[in-house]
Amino acid sequence: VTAVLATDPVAAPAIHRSHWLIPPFTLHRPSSIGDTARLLAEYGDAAAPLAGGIDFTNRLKTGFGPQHVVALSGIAALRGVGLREGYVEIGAAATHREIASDPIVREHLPELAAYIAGLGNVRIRAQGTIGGNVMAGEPGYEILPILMALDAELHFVEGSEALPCRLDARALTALPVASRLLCHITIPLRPRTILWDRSLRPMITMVAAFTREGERLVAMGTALGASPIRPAWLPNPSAPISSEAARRDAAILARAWIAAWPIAGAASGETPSWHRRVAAVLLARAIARAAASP
Amino acid sequence: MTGALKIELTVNGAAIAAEVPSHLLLVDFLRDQLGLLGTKLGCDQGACGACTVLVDGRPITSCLTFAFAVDGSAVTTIEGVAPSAAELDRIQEAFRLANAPQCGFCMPGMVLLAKALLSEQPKPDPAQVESWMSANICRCTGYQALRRALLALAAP
Repeated sequence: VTAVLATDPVAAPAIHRSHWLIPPFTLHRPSSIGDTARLLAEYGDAAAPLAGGIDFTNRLKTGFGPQHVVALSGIAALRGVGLREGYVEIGAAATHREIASDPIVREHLPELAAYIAGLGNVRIRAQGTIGGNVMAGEPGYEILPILMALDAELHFVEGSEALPCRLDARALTALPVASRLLCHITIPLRPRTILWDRSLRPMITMVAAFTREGERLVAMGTALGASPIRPAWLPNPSAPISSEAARRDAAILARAWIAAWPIAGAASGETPSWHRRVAAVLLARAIARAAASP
Repeated sequence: MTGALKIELTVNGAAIAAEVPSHLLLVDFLRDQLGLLGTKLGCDQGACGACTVLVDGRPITSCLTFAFAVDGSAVTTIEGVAPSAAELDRIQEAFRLANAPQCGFCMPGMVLLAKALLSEQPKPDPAQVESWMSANICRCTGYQALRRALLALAAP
């Protein structure tokens, strides 16, 4: 063993570029969800959970300075994927790479595996976690739209109610700090077709969910994520229609559907009309593809 | 835990025991405490991949990873890739033959990313090469040479 002892590691912090902004913190490494919840409750706003660290570390470099950091990497109960009765449960600290390659996800939620396999890049997928992506609250992040389309629910510390992903995403950031420990995500197993278009990310990510009633196409809804607009779920206002009508009228249906996207009052610098027009094009293509599929 | 944290890991096969402050990033630990200057600091936001190292064989972004987080892990940096000081690794040699390195700043990250790719996919197809290697940025835009070199390595 080569012993490498810093002369005075605390007094000689890293000085590279923004790293000097990262303040010293007290590190906690709990091994259970209960201990983690207690730490977060005890330290309140002075504490922050650390999962993959991608967003967290970048935030530290811009002045975010929790006095207590609670590392989640040692909590086995926050990882892994399980097949339950009628749904799949995914640990919040599972990395994107683990989820995309998990046999249960690949068999029962192939659309999620395919979607996550294209998320970010291979480094991000190896390090980033599904819970971190959700809880970061970054409008352009792409996990919430697919979770909305899959009708997933977020399960926080014991005793708190599950939150449907289709709720307004702002509900997540409104949680008190002690309740912000996302433990797992459940996704119901149902027949459905999930289609997406991420070619314009992060400006627009469109994920749409469809099913069928006999010969008729049922467009369930679409989840739209668009930096800097928070992800939103738009239920389809139209009744089920024949595949032929859906193919023929896809653009009209999409425009009516997108009209409900609540972006008009968004922050300055956005162009709601552009977002609506482009989202309608992406959605119309998805409707046509869904109508053409068996 | 406050103050210095004790960590034990292997770096390029050598066992290391160290004390690090909680807020020390892995890139700074490697460069400042271990003197492994091959790991570069580029964008400092996890986007460019210049700071890529392998942790237990997986490519990670060392500018967004705390040193304490690799406790118990096996870390590989560019200094641990070549079999000897007189010999290049096959990926380094392939990149050299393809004239892939230009300014060279991105090369440590590119080599390690390629190591991880070939470890997971010994015969990657062009789509896999592009998917993996697009994670890192080369501001000299030497992407085609990198792609050619890796596809040549993967060829039967």
